[in-house]
Amino acid sequence: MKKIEESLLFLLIVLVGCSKRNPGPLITRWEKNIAQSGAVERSLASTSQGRCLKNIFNVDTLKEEIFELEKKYAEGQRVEGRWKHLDLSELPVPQANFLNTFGNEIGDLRDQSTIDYSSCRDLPCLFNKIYGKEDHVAGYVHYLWYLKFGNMLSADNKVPDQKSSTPGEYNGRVIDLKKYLFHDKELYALWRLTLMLRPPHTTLSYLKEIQRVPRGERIEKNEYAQACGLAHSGGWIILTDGCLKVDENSDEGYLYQAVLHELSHHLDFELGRGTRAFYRSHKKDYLKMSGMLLEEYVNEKGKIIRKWVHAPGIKMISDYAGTSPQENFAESISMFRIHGEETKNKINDEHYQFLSTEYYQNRRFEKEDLMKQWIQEYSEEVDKDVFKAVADCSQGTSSPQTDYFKASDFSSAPTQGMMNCLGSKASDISQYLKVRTTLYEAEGCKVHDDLSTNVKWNQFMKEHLISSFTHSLEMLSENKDHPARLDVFQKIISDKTIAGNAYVNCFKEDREKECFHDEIKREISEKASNRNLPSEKTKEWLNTYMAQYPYDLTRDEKRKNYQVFVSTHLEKIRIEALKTWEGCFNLSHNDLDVPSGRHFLISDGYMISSFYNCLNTQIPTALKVISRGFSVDGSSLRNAKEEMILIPIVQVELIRILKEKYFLQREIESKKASEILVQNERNIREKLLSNLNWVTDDDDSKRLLFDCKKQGYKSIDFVPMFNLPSTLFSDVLERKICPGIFKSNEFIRKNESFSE
Amino acid sequence: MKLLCCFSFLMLASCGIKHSSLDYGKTTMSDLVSVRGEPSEEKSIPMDGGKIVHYEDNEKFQVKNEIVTHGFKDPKGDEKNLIFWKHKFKDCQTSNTKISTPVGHELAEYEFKCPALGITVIYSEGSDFISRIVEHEKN
Repeated sequence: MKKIEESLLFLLIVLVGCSKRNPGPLITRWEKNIAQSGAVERSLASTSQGRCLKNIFNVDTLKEEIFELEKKYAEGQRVEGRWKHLDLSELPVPQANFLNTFGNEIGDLRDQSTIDYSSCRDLPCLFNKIYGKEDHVAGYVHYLWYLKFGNMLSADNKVPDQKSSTPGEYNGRVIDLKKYLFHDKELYALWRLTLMLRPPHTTLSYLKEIQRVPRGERIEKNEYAQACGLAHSGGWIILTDGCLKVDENSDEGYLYQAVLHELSHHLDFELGRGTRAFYRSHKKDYLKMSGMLLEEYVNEKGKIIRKWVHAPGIKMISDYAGTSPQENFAESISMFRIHGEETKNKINDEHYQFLSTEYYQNRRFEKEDLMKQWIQEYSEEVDKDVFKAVADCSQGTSSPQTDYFKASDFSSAPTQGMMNCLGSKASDISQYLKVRTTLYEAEGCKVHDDLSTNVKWNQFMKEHLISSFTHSLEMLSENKDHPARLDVFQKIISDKTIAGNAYVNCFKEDREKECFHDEIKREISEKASNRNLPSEKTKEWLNTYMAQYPYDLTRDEKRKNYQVFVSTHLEKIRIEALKTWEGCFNLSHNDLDVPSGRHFLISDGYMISSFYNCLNTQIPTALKVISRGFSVDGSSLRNAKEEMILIPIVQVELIRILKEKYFLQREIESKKASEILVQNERNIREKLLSNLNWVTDDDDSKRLLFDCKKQGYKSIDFVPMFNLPSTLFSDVLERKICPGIFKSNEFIRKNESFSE
Repeated sequence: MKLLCCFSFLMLASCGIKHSSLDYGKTTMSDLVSVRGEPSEEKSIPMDGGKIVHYEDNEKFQVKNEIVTHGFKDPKGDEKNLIFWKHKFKDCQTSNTKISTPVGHELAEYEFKCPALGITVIYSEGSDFISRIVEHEKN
């Protein structure tokens, strides 16, 4: 027996030892395939000097961006089906996904025949037809928005939650489709926002669409008439003119803050999902750092009062941020990004640090911070240029005299000729990066046009260049005898997979960030030891690598890539979702058990509990089937951690498809119920009158009506699955059938016999 | 055997989500203290003789003239889902009322009330999630 135990123990140790390293994640292969397809090199023309982002807002720039983003879908599963004349399987996967998801929600929904799409072969063209334009920026911005955010920047005449059921009617008026569309300046600003934002704003899973309220109109609902925008947890944002203001200088305007504010409300919904707080901003830690307290009680009139009050000494970004934690959250996050300098002074340090860490990858947006970030973000390219410059200058390339560097800048004391050469190259690199950031960074012009920041830019650049040149000079001299080692170092530094794998392997570990660093340390140390690298050098490699791929950046990049990866397989998810629905639909149903489970939830409407419970029981299996069916280059998912990352992303899509199915079935059922009511009104009346024992209190008219309706539902020979009987039948029972019964002779006679 | 017992206990513990056995409108503050212990905090409210007493897990009770009138609780498990309450209240004469008018553009809060069971649940517009359960006298 003891021997068996020992053998088992040995086997366990072997298994543990074997399972220490997870199989390589699929995402790494997928990313490699994309990287192999090559990136478009952005070269600067001599005319780039002094030009800003707004100067390159044109169809060519947008097409180039789309080309880059579409590459990620190259290996995705083709989508079957058609959209009008278009065969979806012939379209790039994201365009087909868009049409499959939103195809019925674009254009003139009042009269679909008014727009002729027949000459279009791609999605931007369809959008441009809605705008009545050819090869215009509008079509590309709408599509780019979808590629970057995964939700729809709407171009149609139906506002979510509008009062009229007819598209094109708002505030009681018929409104031209053109008024629902964005102006070019608004489109530029929205495009600029796509460049300014990163995860988590670009990975909002539950936001479905952003819709413009017709130009010149206010939000229909009275309580929101003063608001310029509204974010609804049902998955949409609406924006009026007030939230879409762009200044003369189109890099300024309230649009930036307002749109980001509304997106941040969705972040609040999404991060609060599944928690008892519902809003992220209602969690204890946020309430504490923002200084918001909830006062709740029931007043003398029996009304529930829930009022937000301020803790003593509260610091807020604006008065509006004091109205509720959710406004505080959205306002603080948007101001942090758009008005960095102002935000720093207005909120407390803990709050400021929290926003930076949690939502902006530890970045800050004061001008000096922006410059430092750009230098860091472009450092890989800059360092390559520096290395090349050092190599060139070592060949004795002659250069004009320059005082960019001083001899004291380097410990190795290069010759004057070398100093001139390095200084001249450094000056070029610094200037090149300035022009490049001015042109391609959203805040490039704002920062570089400010003369006071020029000195700082030169200072920061020089500091970086001194360090980079020093490092390259040392590397060259140290590695004269080890050229292969240098090659390996450069390969490691440009290898994202070490960080990517570390993120996946450490996902949901107790101390995720520390685990991530430990994994990288282990990998780099292993590579270094294979090359007999001294420990000091190993440390240097490690530090350089960690600076290049910090945890927050890696996490957010992975989050985005996994989302894109999943959306390349939407077709697979659709098929499994429909299979799950049908599997449950075909069972017999009742409403006896308590509805249980939180995968598939219903806010609006109802679902018979056995169906609800069936879906919630089946969804985890469907998620596993889908995730385990993912493959890249013939290899399927084998990494358990990767499955943990993928499942919640797949779940969002699966639930979305199930919800679509639910809404459709609910509508069909409502129509069927109306028909049944019309056909059976007399029957129901007769059944109710046949036995009046359901009357519990004929002196209380409210109670009487309630009893009548309750019995009425039972008398209808139809058990709804997707609606409460009260939703379907209450109106007719209350207005027609029950009042008729109360006036009937049978009812009056029974009443009289009771009285006697 | 021990394992089985432990497992059964865990099962019982996890299934034992129960509503308060307090008799709202009758239970006194001293009854409450004898059942629940001393509150962690007491706060006055703008009502004569009214106060709110706080307990663990964000549970609060409203007391008026030493009588416990209301209990406020966070939902647990399936109670978090609006559909759970739609199912529970389906034979009840319910009311659905907006309890907050938005100051800005935040979503309005609604109360979904079943007087016969003495339970009101609070949720935000468009949400499938219950943010608070308020217990009160049954009528």
